Amino acid sequence: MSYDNEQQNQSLNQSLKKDFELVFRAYSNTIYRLCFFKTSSKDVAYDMTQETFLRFWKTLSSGKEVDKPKQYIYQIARNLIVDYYKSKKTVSLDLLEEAGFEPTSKDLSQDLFSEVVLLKEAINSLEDDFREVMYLRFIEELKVKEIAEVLNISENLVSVRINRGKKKLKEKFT
Amino acid sequence: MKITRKQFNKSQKEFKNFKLSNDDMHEMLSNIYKTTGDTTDDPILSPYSSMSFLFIRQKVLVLACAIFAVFFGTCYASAQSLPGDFLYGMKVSVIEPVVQSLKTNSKVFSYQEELLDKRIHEVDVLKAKDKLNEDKEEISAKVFAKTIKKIEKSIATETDTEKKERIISKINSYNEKIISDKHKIKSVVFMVTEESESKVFEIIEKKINVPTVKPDTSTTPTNTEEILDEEAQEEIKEVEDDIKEIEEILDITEQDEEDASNENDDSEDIEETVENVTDSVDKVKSNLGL
Repeated sequence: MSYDNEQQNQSLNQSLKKDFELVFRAYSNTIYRLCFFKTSSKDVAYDMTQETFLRFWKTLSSGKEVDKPKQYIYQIARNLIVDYYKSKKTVSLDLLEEAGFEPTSKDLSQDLFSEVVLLKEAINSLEDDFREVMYLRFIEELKVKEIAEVLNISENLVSVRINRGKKKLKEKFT
Repeated sequence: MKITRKQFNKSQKEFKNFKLSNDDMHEMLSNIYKTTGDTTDDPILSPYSSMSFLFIRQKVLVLACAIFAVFFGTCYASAQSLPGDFLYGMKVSVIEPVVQSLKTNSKVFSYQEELLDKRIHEVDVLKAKDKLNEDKEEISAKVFAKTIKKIEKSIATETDTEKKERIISKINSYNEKIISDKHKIKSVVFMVTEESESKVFEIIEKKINVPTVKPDTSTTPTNTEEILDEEAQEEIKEVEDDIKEIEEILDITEQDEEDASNENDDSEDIEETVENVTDSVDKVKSNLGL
């Protein structure tokens, strides 16, 4: 490889890093909150966030173009959450105990603040279709269009779900 | 569990403040880069990083090197050139004067001697290659004469005859190698030729306003001042000899005064001539500052 090519690659890598770090600083907290909201564990949320951005960085550095990074990152995070719950279901507590794992009395939700527990319970009490839309709308304060892009559904459907979710949530308020 | 609207809004705000700390973010980034083999930290500067401009200005450097290579290549090629070659002009009118200007005053003469030797060598080489012709001889002779003129100027005030003899021998050896007579070197200062001799006498005549007699060519004067002195002295000697002759004639006439009474008129004429000659001798002496 000639010196010029090497220099070009280096500058390209630098610009990729810049782009990646911009996206990381803009969305890392959002993804972290989403993961925390879904898993109720700071550590798991931290690992998931890291894994999300690691995958995103690998995609960028492999030369693939990402048109909508926000949507792309959300999708990775959602997939990871799904995987997390799938793996949780498959792990048998008996097998873990046989392997030397000692379950503690620590509740998964102990990292959550009391108000957040309430919030989480309120949203989780909604049906599956409404949970994510409500979370993105009222916690992350995304616009309808953005939610539609993230969840890959139509804006109309998002609006309908938000309205119905609001009504259902109101019903849950005392 | 039931939640109030107030609680919902409060928890919503509280949850928004749930963020990664800067340290966490930095650690996460470095973990990501470490996994992929990259690094977030600034690269460690190489001790040779100050030389990085060499790589940044690579094209400029290549161009500069090319110019230097062409320049020194041309200089080298011209140094090897012979009279009549394309680069010979550059050699004798650029490189050699530049080299000479770099020499200290004490070394200029020896460099000029070197140049004379070079010219002789060039003629030798051309002769050996059987390429010596009128044109090349002319070019070489011009350059040789130019160097001789420079040496004449620098050596005019020198009293060291050894140097002069060396130059004369070089001129002689050069002239021996040159085929055409018209290209042979004639130096007024170093070598008295018929031409240069007549020039010297012209100068003397102008100076003393007396017609001069050419000296015997067997005695070769070494510079103009000597030529002037010798000529003047010979002239004076001749005039003095004339006076002596006239005085002898006068003595003879006194002894035979009675016998030669009719020759009185002649003796008066002779006395007048003697006076004139003495005046002219005085004139010559005063002109020469003797």
